[in-house]
Amino acid sequence: MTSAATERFDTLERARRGDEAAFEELMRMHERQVLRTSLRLLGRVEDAQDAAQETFLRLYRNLGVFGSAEEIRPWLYRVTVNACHDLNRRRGRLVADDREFDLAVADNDEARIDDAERRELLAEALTYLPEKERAAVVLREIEGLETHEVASILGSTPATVRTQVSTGRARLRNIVARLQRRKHGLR
Amino acid sequence: MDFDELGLRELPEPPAKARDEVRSRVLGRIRTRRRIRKALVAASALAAGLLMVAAALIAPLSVGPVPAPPMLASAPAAPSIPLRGPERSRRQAHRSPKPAAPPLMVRLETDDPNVVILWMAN
Repeated sequence: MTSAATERFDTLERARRGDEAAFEELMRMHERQVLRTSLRLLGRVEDAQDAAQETFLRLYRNLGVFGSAEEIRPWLYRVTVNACHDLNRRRGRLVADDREFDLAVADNDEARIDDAERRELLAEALTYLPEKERAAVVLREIEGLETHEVASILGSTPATVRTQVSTGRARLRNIVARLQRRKHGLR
Repeated sequence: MDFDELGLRELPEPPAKARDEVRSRVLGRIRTRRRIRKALVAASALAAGLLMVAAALIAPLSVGPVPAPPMLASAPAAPSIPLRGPERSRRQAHRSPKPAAPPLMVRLETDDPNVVILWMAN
């Protein structure tokens, strides 16, 4: 075990014994991951904060289940995805309807957009993807996890994840193009 | 537009303020829970103590069968004595304290002064 791993394990052990400062340290280690994933899945910072809060409270209640500190990261991804799903369901929010953004979009009529606008459109476009596709795209393309890791987190198979990511990519590209044209008054 | 050009990984990170807020909310919830748990433990201990005091106060007033005290030691076995002797003596001891009733005597005098009828009954 490396010294960093030993240090992380020590932090986990102290947090288990009820050391609040150690738990805060654990949160600091993982909060970017949790909040970023929540934000990509939910689209709004306030909702992402609620999901992240629920995720960390579940972590606090389940500190005893980890054999090592390395198990926390994938566990947090799984719980974050579930917390976002629960939040959507609890609030009765409908998953954005992506039918409006069909795949038959011409590729050549895109207006030039700057980086900031592109990022804004992309973040919005993500919210239009179906929930499972969105989770697969976020974990694979944004968080950079391996396909088998994504499959394990989503309780799916690598083949399904590959399909979801591929479909999600195509859909996302077209949704961005549609949003861009709408914004610039093109039809 | 190529997908990679979309730059999914270039999406901005959530603001640091949002992370701070989440952290403080989580720690606040944990502290509240701990306080509630401590209060529950204290309340349970207090309730248990009150119950014990109440039981101690009520117990002497209640009339009920008193349980037999635990046997601390047993007496040595009594020596074997033939039954007849003590039985007889016990019977005698039983009878002797009874006071002997005086016999009932009736004296009947007849016309003839030389004839007197004495009637005795036990």
